[in-house]
Amino acid sequence: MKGMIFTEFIEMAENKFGLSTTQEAIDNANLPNKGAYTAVGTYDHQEMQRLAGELCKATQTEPGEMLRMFGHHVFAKFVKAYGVFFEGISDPFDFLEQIETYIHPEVLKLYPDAELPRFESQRLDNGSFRMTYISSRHMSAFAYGLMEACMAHFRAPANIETESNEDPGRVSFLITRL
Amino acid sequence: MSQEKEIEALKRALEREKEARKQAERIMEEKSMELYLANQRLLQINESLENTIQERTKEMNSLARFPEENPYPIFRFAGPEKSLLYSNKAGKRIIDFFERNPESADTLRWYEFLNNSHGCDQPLVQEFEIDENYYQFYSVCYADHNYMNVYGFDITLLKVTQNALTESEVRFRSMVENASDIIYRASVDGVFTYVNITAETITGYSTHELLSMHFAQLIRPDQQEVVADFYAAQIREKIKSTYLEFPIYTKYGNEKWIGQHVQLIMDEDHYITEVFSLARDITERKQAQTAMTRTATRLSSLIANLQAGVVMEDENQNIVITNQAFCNLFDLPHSPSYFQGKANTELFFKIKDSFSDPDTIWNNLEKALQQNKPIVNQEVLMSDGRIMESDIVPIFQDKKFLGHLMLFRDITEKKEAHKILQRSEEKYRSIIENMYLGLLQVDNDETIMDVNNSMCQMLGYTKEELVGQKTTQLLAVAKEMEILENVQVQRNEGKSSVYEMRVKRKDNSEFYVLISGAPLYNEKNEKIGSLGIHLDITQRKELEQDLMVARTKAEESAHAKEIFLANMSHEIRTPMNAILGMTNLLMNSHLDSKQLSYLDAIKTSSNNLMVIINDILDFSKIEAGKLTIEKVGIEFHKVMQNVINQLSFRADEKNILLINKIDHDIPDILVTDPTRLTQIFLNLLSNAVKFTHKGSVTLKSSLIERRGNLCRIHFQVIDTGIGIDADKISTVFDSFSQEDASTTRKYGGSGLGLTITRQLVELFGGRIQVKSKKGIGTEFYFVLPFEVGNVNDLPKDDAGIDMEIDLRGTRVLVAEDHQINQFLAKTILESWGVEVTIAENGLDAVNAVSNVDYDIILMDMQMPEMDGLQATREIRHILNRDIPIIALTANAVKGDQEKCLDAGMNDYLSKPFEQKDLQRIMQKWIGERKTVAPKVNKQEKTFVPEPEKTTSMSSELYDLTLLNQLALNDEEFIAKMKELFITSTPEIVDQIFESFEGNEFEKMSGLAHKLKPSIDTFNIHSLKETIRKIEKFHTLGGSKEELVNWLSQLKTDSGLVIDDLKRSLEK
Repeated sequence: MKGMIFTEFIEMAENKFGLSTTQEAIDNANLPNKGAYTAVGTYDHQEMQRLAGELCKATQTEPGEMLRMFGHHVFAKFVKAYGVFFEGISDPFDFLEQIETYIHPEVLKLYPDAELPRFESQRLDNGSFRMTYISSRHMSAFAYGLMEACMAHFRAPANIETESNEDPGRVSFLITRL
Repeated sequence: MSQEKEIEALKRALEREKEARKQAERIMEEKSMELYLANQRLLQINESLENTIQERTKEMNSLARFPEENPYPIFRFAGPEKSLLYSNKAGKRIIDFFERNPESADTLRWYEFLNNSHGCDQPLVQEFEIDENYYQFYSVCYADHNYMNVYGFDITLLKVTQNALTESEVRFRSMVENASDIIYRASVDGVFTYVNITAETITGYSTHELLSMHFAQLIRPDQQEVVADFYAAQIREKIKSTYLEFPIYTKYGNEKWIGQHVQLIMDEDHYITEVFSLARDITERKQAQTAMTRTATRLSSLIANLQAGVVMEDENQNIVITNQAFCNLFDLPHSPSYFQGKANTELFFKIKDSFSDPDTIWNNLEKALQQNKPIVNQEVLMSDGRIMESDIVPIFQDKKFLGHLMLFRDITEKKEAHKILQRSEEKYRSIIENMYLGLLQVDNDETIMDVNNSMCQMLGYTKEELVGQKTTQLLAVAKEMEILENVQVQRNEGKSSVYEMRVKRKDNSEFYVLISGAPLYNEKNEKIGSLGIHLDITQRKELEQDLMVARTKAEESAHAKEIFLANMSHEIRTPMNAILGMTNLLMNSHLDSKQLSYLDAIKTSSNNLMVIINDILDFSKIEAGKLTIEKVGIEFHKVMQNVINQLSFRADEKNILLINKIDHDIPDILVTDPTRLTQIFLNLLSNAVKFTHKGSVTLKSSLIERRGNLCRIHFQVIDTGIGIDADKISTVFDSFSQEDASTTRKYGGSGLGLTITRQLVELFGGRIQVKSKKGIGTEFYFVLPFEVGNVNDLPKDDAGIDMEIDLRGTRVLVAEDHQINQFLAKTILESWGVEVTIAENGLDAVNAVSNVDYDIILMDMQMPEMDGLQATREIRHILNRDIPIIALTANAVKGDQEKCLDAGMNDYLSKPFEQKDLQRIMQKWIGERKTVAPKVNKQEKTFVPEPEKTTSMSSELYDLTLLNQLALNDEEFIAKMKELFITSTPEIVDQIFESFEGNEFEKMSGLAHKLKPSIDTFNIHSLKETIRKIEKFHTLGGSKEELVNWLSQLKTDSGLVIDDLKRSLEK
C-alpha cells in the first residue's frame, strides 16, 4: 500500500482526534516502523488495517464511518495535489466516469506497483448514476466518502444510496442528484 | 497532565517524522543510483550504434559505384511526376538525347513508358531507338517507396542482325505470296507443309485448314485415283519434274481445273525429302474448251433432228452436211453422211425429179449464188403434189463467202389447214353480216371503223355513211352521254360490259338497244378501240313498262281493298254493336215468351252475322299476310277444355257426346297463340257438331315427340257425322266452297271456316288433312310444333281480371260520337254505379279531361273534329295525364292495336263488345287504382246476371282481426307489421319460385314454412291452405301441375294483399 495513504491517514487522525489519541492508536497497533511512514514508501496494507482498527477503538468510531471520513480527507488532498484532473470538468458524473478510464491509468504510469480498486460506472439518466466499487481491500466506505466529497466539490447536492453490500468486495452505489 | 501527554505525543510525532525523513532519504538514494546505472547503459548502446552507421555508410558508398560504372543506362525516378533522382553516365546520355529530341517518336514513347511503369506492380520492358542505337528498358516500380528504377540494355547489334534477316524473309515471302499460281510444298506422302496465299483464294480453304489436309482431298472424287496413281509413279520412278491437269473442288463445292508442275526435292543420297509444286488455275481455259465442244455437238445434233431438210455446201459447192429429214423429204435411200464431201451436183441429180418444175429450183440456186442474198419462203410444188417451202441462205464469215445453207419444209398440211380456216372464216363472216345483231367497231376516239349490215339496217344509214363518223355525234342521244362516258372508262380499264341505251336513227327516231361491248386490242396488246354487239330491245322495253304500270295498278287496288275492308268492318260492326247491345238490354226487360223468342232469333242471327263478318275479316287478313301468330304462355289443358266448354251446350242440345282426350305426356305449358289455336278447334269442332246428328265428336291431342324445349302434337277432330262425298273431299278447304249449295241453306255459314282453319294451321307450321266416309264420319288431323314454356311465360295479370272490384263512384269519360253506342255504354256503366260523362268527339274529350279528374277514358277511334289517337296524344303530351285510356275500336284490322298503343293508349276493346269484355277491361284498369273491396252485392252492380261467370275466389282476401288482437290495436305496430310483410314477402315468394324451378323441393318447403306465420297473421284465407300444401309437397309429393297452380295462386294473392296493404299505409 502506498505510503501516501498512511501519511494522510495519520494526518487526518492527528487533525481530527489529536496527537495523543493518534499516538495511542499507533502504539496499540504495534506497527513495525512505529508509525514513521513516508509518502514515497510502500507498506503492507495489514498495517493500515491494524492502525485504523486501533484508531476506531480509541475514538469509539465505526470503522465504516472512519473510512468515510478518510475519504472526505483524501478527496480534499487530491483536489489540491492533482488539480490537473479537475480542469475543465463541471459535472461530478463526468469526473466519476474518468476515475476508471483516465485517472487510474495515469496513476499506474507514475506508480507501477500501486494497487488500485476497480470502478464500474453507469449513467442512468441526467440525474442519477450508478458506481460499483470492486476491490479485495473491502474499503467501500472509503469510496463512499470520496463520492460524497466529490459531489460536494462540484456543488451538486445528491443522495448516495448503497444498493447492495452482501459482497464487501463488490458494492454498488446509486447517486441521485437532488 | 494532558498537556504533558500532548507534549509527549508531539515529541513522538516529531520522532516519527525524522524517522520517516531518513526512510525517504534512503529510498531517494537508492533511486538515484538506479538512475545513474541506467544512464551509463544508454551511453554504451549509443556508441556502438554510431560505429555501425559509419561502417554501413562506407559500404553504401562503395556499392553506389556499381551503377555508376555500369556501361548500360540506369535511372531512378521519384514520385508521380517521375523526377529524375539518379542516372549513371550511360543514363545521362540517354536523358540528353531525349532532351535534345523532345518531338521524336521514341521520346514520346519514353515518357509514355515511364507513365505506364509508375505504380505498375509488374516490371515493364520496352525497346527504343536512340542515336542509331537500340535499347531495351526494364522498369521496376517500388510503390511503397514512391520511386522506380529503370535499367537499360544496348541491343543494337542484335537488332541490326534481326532486321536484315526479316527484310530478306519478307521480300522472298511476298514474292511467293503474290504469285498468281499456287506454290506449295508437301511431304512425300502428300500432306501440305507450306502453301502461299494464292492457295487460299483458289481453293477457298484457309492456310490453316490446308496445312492439315492431304493433297488428294482437293481432287474431284472421280479423278482422285488417276491423279494419285500418276504421282505415285513419279515418286516410284523418281521423275524429277511432271505436269498434270485435273479438276478439284473448292471448299464451297465449285469445280476448278488445275494445271500442276511437281518437282521432287532430293538430298545428296537421291532420297526424296519433299515435293515442291506450282499449280495454276486453268478453269477458264478448260471451260472455253468444253463450251466449244458442246456447241459443236449441239449444232450437229440440231441439224440432225430438225424437221426441215437441211443441206449445207461449202464455197466449192461440196456438201458439208445434210440430215435425215432431207433424205426423208426427197425419199433418198441414203444415210445423211453418204453425201458428205460429195459435189452438190450429185445430190441435185438425185432429187431433181421430185420437183414438178426443177428448172425454177436451179434458177433460184443460180440466182442465190450470183447475188449472195438469201432467198427465203419460196413455195415449191413437188411432182407428187406436195408443197415445199425452201430457203437458200449464203453463209459468210468476216465477209468471206463460206457456202450455202438450204432448207426444205413440207408445208402441205399447213396449206390445207389454212384453206379450211379461210373457208370457216368466210362462213362466220357471212353469218355475222346477215344476222339480226348489229356489230359496230370504233377506235379510241369513238370513230366508227366498221359496221355490219344489220347495224346499218337498225340505224337506217349505209355503211359508207357510218364509217369515219363519231358515234357520239351521229348516234348518241343527249340524255345517254353519261352512260357512254362510263362505258368508255370501263373499256379503258380493259373491262367488258353489257348495258342498255337509247340510240338515234338516221330519221332522228330513238330506239332501245342492248349492247354487249368489249375492248379491242392489236397484236402488240395495245387498245385500239372497242367492239359492240347491238340488239334492238325496243319491244321488250315497251313490254316492261306496260308490266310496271300493271303492277302499280294492282298494288293500288289491293290497298283499296284493304281500306274497303277496314271501312266495311267499321261500318258493319258499329251498328252490330248497337243491335247486340240493345238486344241484351231488351232481354232483361219484362217481355212475354213470344217477344223473348223473337229477340232470341235476333240475337242468334246477329251472332251468325258477326261470325260471318269475322270470318271474312280473318280471311282477308290472312290473304294479305297481315295475320301473325302471337307467342304467349298457355296452360294447354285449360285452353282445350275451354274449347270443349264453349261447345258443350250445343252438343248437349243435339245429344252428342263431346270427348276431350289429352295425352298425359303433353307439357303443361306451351308458348303459342291461344286465340288462334282456340279459333282452329272452335271452327273444326263446331263444324263437327253441326254435321253430326248422333254419336260423338272427339278432340284428341297426342304428343309425337319432344326435343329440348320443342314438341310436336298430333291433333284429331273425329266425328260420327254425315261425312263428305269422295269427289268433294278435295275441295273442302277451298274458299267459299261448301259441299253443295243445299248445305249452305241447311247448315249456314260463310263457306270460309275451313279455308281459314287451313290457313291458320299453316300459319302455325302444320298442314291440315281430312279423311271421310259418307254416312260414317269425318276426321280432320294435323301436327303442330310448339315451344314448351314454364310458369314464368304465363301472363301475370290473368288472375287479377277475375277480381271483383267495386266500380261504384268511378268516373268514366266515354268519348264516342255514335249516339246508340253512347247510350249503350252509359246504360251498362251506370248499372255498375259508375259516373259516366259523354264526350261527342276527341276535342270534347281533351277539354273534359283538362277540367275533371277521370279514373278512366273509353275512347272511340274514329270521331269527327279530332280522332281518338290525336286526342290521346294531346292528353298524354299536352295535358300530361296518365289516366288509363281504352280504345274502342271497330277496326279489327291488324295495325290498329299498335297504333293505339303507340299513341299512348293502355288497352283496347273491339266493338261490338260484350258486357263482360267491358267489365274485364274496367276491372283490369280500375283495379290498379282502386282498393280490393269486399263485394257488396253482385245483383246491384251487374246489370245482367251472368250465371256462368266465375265467382271471385274470396269476398275477403285477408283480415287484420288476429293482428289487431295481437297488437291491442296499436296503430304504429300494425303499420310496422304491414311494412314488414310488404318488404319480406315478395322476396320469399321469388325464392320459392327459384327453388321450384331448380327442383329444390326441400328448400321450397323450408321457405314455405317461413312464410306460413305471416299468412296466418294476416289471415289470408286463400293462401292458408295453399302454403301448407306447398310446405308439405316435399314430404308428401303430388302432381307438379297442382303445385304450379298453388304457386301461381301464392304469387297472385300475396301480390294483391301487398298492393292493398300499400294503399292502406298511404292513407
